[in-house]
Amino acid sequence: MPQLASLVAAIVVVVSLTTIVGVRRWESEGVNGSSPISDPVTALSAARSNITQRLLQQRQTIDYWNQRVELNKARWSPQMRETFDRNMRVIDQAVADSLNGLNQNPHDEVSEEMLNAAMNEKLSLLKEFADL
Amino acid sequence: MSTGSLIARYGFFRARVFSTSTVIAFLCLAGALGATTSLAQQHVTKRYPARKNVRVELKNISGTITVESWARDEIKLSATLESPTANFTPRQSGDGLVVDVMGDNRGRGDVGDVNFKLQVPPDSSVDVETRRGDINISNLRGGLVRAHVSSEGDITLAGITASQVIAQNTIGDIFFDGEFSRGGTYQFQSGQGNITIRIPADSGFRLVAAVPTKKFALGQFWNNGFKTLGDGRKYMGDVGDGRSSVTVTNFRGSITFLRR
Repeated sequence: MPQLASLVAAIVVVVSLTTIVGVRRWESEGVNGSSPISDPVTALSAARSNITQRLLQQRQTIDYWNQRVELNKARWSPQMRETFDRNMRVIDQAVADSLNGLNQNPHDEVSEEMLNAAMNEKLSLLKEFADL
Repeated sequence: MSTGSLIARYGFFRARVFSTSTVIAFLCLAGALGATTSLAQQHVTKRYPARKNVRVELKNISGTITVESWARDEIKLSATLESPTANFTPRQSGDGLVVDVMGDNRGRGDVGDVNFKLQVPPDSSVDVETRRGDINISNLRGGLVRAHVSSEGDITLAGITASQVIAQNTIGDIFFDGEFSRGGTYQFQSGQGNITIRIPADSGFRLVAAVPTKKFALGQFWNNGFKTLGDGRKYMGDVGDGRSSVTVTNFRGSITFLRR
């Protein structure tokens, strides 16, 4: 009898977990657009929302390293400060170009890839100069 | 002797004294400047015994890095240090040499340029980086050649047949002249500069190139199997048997392939 009870309990747990995971996956597919969305306006806003969400997360990390750079900047030579600022402008321009591309076409994979690459490059530059 | 003649001779004497004093003053000034320059610069030369396929790692802050191969089983490190002089202690480990100017001066902020010249065995693997400055690497055929400039500086890789090559900068040109090895990986990335890749005509590689400016010239390596994406901002395709992998990204410059 106790063995039967534990078997029933185990079945209940497994079925519940499967249901929860299934429902969550279905919900997230609906939001992320991997399942076909018939309304193009909804698809467009979903794509924009994804990019915005990812940018926000990356910006938090960038802000942290930016603060560290600003703290150390006073110790740098004027030439090093100019170099850093000049290079950061180049990367920011690349970020802006990619964002412009995505504003025109949120499904533009090349702009999205370039945006990711530029954001990584920005993070890398900040980290490396934060060490100085 | 007439008065006129005396005045003329006196004038000539004054002119000679003046010109002699000028020359002496100039020589003194030049000497002083030379002394100042030599005081502001320090030269360091060290030699290390090495295996044929040694690994050399150099992390600089600012200055030029030159790496050349030579037919000796040893590493020669030459450095010119500008004022305020950076500290660095090269560390020799089992498989190579590590020079970490960045780590040895962390928190000092303002240190002068250190211009390095490294002579290494031809089969060496080389991993060099600097925050600012040019990198020149020539005639290496080891496992890895990595040249990373965090900000601005040109990268020139000449006579390279390494199986893994990574060249990256933010502002500056990248020039690669060498061969792609079978199964090798090659990555080139610049934020703003021209990337030029010069390889033999019979090279085989799989290429992924992204260039938002659309300044892309594959020359004779172009074939109809190439796929163009994003209205000419990205290219993917195989050249020959596609035996090595090549990735080139340039945000605001050009990508050019040339036949060797």
